[in-house]
Amino acid sequence: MIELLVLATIGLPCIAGIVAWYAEADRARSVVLPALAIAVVAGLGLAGLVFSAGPVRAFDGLVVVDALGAYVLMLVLVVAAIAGAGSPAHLRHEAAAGTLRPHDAGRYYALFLWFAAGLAATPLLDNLGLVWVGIEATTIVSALLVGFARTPAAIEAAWKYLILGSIGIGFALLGTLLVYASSVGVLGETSDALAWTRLVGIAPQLDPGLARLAFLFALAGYGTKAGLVPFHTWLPDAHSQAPSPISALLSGAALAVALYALARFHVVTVGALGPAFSSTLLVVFGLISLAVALPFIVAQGDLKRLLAYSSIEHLGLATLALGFGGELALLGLSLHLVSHGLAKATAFLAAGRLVAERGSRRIGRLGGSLAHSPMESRALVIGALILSGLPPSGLFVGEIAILLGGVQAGWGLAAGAAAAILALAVAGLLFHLVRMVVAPTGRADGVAQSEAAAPAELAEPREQPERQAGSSGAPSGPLAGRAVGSAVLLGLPLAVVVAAGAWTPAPIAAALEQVVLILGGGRG
Amino acid sequence: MSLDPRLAGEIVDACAAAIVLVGVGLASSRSIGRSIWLVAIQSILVGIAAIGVGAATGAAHLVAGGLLALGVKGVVVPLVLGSILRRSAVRRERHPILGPRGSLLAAVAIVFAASAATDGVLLDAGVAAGRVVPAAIAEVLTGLLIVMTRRKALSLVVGLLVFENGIALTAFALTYGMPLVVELGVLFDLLIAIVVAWVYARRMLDVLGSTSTDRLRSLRG
Repeated sequence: MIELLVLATIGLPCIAGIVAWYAEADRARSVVLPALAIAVVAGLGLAGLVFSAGPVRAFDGLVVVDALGAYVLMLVLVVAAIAGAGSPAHLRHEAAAGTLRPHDAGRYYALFLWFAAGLAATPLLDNLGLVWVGIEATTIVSALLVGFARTPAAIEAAWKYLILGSIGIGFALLGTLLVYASSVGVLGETSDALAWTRLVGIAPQLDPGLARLAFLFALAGYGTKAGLVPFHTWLPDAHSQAPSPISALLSGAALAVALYALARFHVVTVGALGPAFSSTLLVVFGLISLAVALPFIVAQGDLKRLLAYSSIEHLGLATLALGFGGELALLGLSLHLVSHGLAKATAFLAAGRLVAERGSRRIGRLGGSLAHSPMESRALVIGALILSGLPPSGLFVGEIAILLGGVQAGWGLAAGAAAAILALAVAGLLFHLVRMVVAPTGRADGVAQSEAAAPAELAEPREQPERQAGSSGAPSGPLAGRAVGSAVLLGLPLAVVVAAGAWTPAPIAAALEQVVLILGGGRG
Repeated sequence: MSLDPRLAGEIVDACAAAIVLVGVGLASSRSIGRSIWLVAIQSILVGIAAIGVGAATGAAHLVAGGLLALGVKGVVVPLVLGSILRRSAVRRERHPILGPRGSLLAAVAIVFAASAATDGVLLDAGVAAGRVVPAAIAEVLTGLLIVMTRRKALSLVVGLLVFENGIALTAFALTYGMPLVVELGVLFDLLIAIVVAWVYARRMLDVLGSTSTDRLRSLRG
């Protein structure tokens, strides 16, 4: 039963990906979307089973899913479902713009499925070495997706991502090796020596010197993948140049998976050395990430880069929460990370459509978007309001819990500094929103000022052909269906996040409690 | 399969010394073709060292891992890189950020720093650890040096391979290798990474007309 669920979650998308690789666009879509839907349902079933009945083992201990793994799996699958549902519209637009080569759609779907399957497989693996293999594999597949547009900028972003990602992940491998070196002495030379469930149990017996070095390397390595400053330089490029559904998956899920790997190392390190060492490092790097992301958010001129820097900010906050420790902060973290995933994925999809319809990513040239593309603009506004941490939303509750938890755990100064930075980032995001949504076309940006001489009405007809269903007055037939679909796709995740701020259903609250227990070093 | 531990120790020591020498040569080489050759030789030496340790300790999975590493990193990957080089007009690292003399000095400094830093912190001396750990750390740093100071796409890939060799050597020296399933995954990932790098190097050729990463300077802020 468990085996079957795991195969349906991981194996099915991999096989469907192979089929899609060789298929025409329409065939590929009709294979990929059902496969993705089955995988999501199966994976969510698996997660539900873990939450209700405790950890499960399968495939001779290769797969061990505890509440933390199930939580990350759930996060990945939900974000993948959003990104997958947003993919046909993205490809439709690319096809209309004439930038797709004959086999591109099939390949896009294939890589998308493999990327999602890799992200979903990583939290199911018990062996830290295989967790590394999973994260490296997702890096490589997603590098192909980042450069999918084949423009010079996309190739630059993908190349940077590949090289910096490989070096970062190399450091993570060194960290994994050092953990193995220190656990081989205790457990002997078995593949169990990298099994996380064993490592937590024997953590107090690990060589402290090696454990310390191992965590430093893991922090640099998985920190690179999670976009922690100063290892973040690839992130704004990759997340802004990738196709928007891929940006959604990268920002919403891939960063969380990297943080998940770091969290596993953190728990082992706390077991070996006590909480002081790794917690302090996480708090410091979390704060640096928050502080460095802030000016780039405030002064940002590019819509997708704005969202990318917001991801650095949020992952910084999540890292901070992991460092704070304590029940409240960790509960906040688990609520924050999933809310961020949903809201960021939706915001990227909405931003991608808006950019496609308006033909520019410069925030200054997106003025008047509310009148031009009402649905995308509203989704983007609500998403950005949630992402800036304003109430009511799950993200807001999560942030407050993290900050209060930090104060409770004796990190008052760090929590205060984080609160100040978050407040300033709200102002930055709102400023950009006003420029895009309320300001008249092309007035708000210095660059666009020179073009303001050409009346906005002149620019309008040129963009008209690119406008799609949902933005035009009264769509009918299949177009109306698409518009409703888009409204559900963009609206539902945001509604869930907002609702989570007011009310968390009891089973979900119980599940999050289990996640907190594991992150706190319990065996859940 | 068993090998006299003292003989194995000498083989491994000799490999470690040769690996470091090749690393210095790589750091100061400006010809990309020669760099690919050198990194192939270095990868083969890493494979031989792993097989030596495996034969001496009777660790069959280490012998298997060494053979795999030798085949993938010593043969397949250099062939792939060579085929990109033949398509590319870029043959030399003309304007590296740090010239060959500077790189040579830096590489030698790295070797001394690595042996000074690891002096006395060796774990169990076993067959290998003695001279291999400093060599491994030196190669990790040399790889980083190459990645940071070169501009051509292929040179960066070569730097990554040197970095990778250092990590593999650390693995063999510190732990007698990882479990085979992990090692397989690592090598497979590496192979795919090189193929993807190859894909992008070709796209750079198509779109930018060059595999120099100099042209890649548009994304800021």
